[in-house]
Amino acid sequence: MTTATVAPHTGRHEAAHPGSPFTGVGSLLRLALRRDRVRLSVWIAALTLMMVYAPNAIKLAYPEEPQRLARVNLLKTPAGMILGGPMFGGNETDLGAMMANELMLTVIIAASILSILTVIRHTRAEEESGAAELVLSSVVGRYARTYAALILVGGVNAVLAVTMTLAMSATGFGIVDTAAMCLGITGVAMVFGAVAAVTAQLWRQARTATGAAMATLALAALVRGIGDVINNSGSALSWFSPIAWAQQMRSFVDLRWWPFALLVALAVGLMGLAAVLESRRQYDDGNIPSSGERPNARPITGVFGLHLTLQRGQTIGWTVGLFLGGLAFGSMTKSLLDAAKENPLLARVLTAQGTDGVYTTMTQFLAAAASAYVVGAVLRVYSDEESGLGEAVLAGAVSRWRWLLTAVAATLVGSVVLMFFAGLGNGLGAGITLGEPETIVRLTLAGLAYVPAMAVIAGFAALAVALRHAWIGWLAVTFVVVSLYLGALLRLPRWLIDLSPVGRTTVPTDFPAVALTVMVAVAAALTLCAGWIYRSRDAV
Amino acid sequence: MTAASLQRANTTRSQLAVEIRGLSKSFGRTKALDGLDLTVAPGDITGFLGPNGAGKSTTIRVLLGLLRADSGTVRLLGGDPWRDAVALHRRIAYVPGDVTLWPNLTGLQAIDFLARLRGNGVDTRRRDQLIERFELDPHKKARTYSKGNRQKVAIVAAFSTNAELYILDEPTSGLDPLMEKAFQICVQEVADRGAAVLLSSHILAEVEKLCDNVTIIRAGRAVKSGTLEELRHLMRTTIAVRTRDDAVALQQVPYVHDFTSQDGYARFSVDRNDLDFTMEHLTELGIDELTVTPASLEDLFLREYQGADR
Repeated sequence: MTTATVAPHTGRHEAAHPGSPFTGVGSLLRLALRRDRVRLSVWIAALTLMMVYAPNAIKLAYPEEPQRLARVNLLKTPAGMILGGPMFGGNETDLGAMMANELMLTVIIAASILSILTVIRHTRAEEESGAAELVLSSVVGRYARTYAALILVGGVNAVLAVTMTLAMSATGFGIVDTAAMCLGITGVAMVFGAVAAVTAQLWRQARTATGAAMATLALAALVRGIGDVINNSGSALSWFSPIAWAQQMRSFVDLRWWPFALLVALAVGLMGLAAVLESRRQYDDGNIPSSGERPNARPITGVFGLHLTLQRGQTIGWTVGLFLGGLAFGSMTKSLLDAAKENPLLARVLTAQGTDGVYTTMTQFLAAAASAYVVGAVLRVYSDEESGLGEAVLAGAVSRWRWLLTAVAATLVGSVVLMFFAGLGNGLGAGITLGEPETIVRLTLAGLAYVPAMAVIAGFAALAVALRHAWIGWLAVTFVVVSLYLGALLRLPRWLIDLSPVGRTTVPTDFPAVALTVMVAVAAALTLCAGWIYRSRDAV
Repeated sequence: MTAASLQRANTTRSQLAVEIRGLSKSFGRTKALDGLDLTVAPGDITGFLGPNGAGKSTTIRVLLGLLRADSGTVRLLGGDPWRDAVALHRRIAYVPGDVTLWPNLTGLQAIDFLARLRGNGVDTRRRDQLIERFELDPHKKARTYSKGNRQKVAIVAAFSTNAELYILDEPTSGLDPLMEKAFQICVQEVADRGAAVLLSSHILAEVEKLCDNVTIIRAGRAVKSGTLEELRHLMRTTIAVRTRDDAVALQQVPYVHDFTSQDGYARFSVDRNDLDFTMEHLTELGIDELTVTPASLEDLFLREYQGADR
């Protein structure tokens, strides 16, 4: 032991290299771990358990070869391709290959979202709230906060790679292929952590930076999906998306390691870019200047107007995203019908349900995405309460009822816009490729039929605000997405899947008038209940 | 309370702008307010003072109907602040001590919106006059404002309404001395037209200049309240004296407090009512040198803040 060299260092804040940009990274890292100990533990535990639960669920659901083959054939359809991953031929019914194909994308997206949220939370959000000012006034290097956030995310992903590999290989998968799959997942997550570090330098608001990073993730998923629809084992387009790189490691089929090097190179490159961008900006400033003066800003006439104004940016961003998503989904209808000619299973499904079944599933997926917008918009009432903005409004002649109900109403207006354009995009995509103009109107109206389901979600979000537990709202979104996307895969009981308002809306296959009426009633009851609780609790 | 002030309290009871009796509020095991009494009469500016964490902001939030009182009675302009919050808020204006604004709205949008929330119209002439008085650039986005400028936005929004009661929670924090002066003019103006003002502040000069009445709270209860004049009267006067005969004899006199003696120089404090006796006593001893210092407000506040017994 070389005790002699470390003896003089006793100062609490003493740095090894005074003045280096890394000074204080250690303390910041400890602070971050202390702040996030529960949050990160829950995420890591959930993702790890997923790796144990999913293979067992598949094994139970598809015990025999023919059943698995049917499942694989179903996933060879364009929608299956987009929501799963590329197929490389060979032993397709092997459980490992099925996992890599079906589960990988979900876990990649979840882990990437975790990375994005964590990086922004410890970089731009701190600057915006002003907490970083206190930190930077002490012995901390100018760029230490960004480095600390990236090291934290790196650590989280390393832990995830280890726990997920151990969990999955414990259920009987080959450890090398499992490790490759889990490293691919965490590699992509690291890339998007680095993307968030870049967007945090570009924009001044944490919300915008998060939104931009999430949009990049959505774009990457879409590019990968369309690329793989073009060619089921990955076309040139697929390779523009880092998500494809992880899937192209071909775990359990034909393992190769070099795509992982691409992920590492991109992550390191983006981190370098973030460092360069950070050195070019000042504290609490963005590389993209934010507009300052607006002499002709329109007056805000009331609480409802305030909600609409504050949500405008979010609504526009989501509308564009869902319109493009709808367009992409819709345009795949043609290739789906073509695929049915060679895929007997698909042909059977199509003759049973017609193309309407496909349209319904597509619209349901768009609505599930919109539910995240709904919850985010309603929960702003809660974050405004935390930041003190709500106090200013409630000190005016505004009742709690009005403040919460107008938030829900403004969100519903936003979701009408969202679902209209999502349906329009879907209709345009399908109508133009199939040459059926009437489909455009039909699918646009189908999109609007999901507004009652959005109202139910908004009711849950309002309840989350009233009870001061934001997670209730996000739980509703998670439930809608999981029941729709993984419901069959995870073998969730039928009654549980049927609880999802989005799943219960089966337009345009049929028009469930009773279910829609019940949804409107449930939404109203939830919102009124939330309003009543909100009225009788302390509001600061 | 003196007889006069009791009588006044009785006659104006029905019209009091703020009337709090025995208010208690707990957060979990923390007792934020513990039997607080506070009144504000129309046309009066009442100073609301106390050390940090004494419960000032909690009281104000109860008055705004944001928090629900655990026990005690709270009347605001004759109504119940929790039940009638919306109707009452039309008649009051509020400036918080730490103003948060929507970062992507301009200052003018925020002012108009906040003033419009009161629901009885915005006096745009008054608003523009105030914007000018406070030298605020209203077209900037709120995220570019400093703390002082955000404070100005809230002050302009509050004072451009025609409220009956102004609740001000450390409103001048972050303002420069010139702006503090402009603020004091605003407060004086609204009080002159008969509005009631509850001013929570730590700036003693501001309190001394503006307030008719003062309530000092500590640990959630009012420890002193009355007019500034009454409070001053309650304070002991400090006397420093050099006498020809030995002044040590004074130490035995019951109304003399805090007696110290050094080099023939005696220093002690007495209640104002006992000044006559003290002077007689001193004359008997023969006065060489005499300094009589009335209690300053600062002494009063420091004493109450520290929780010393009178």
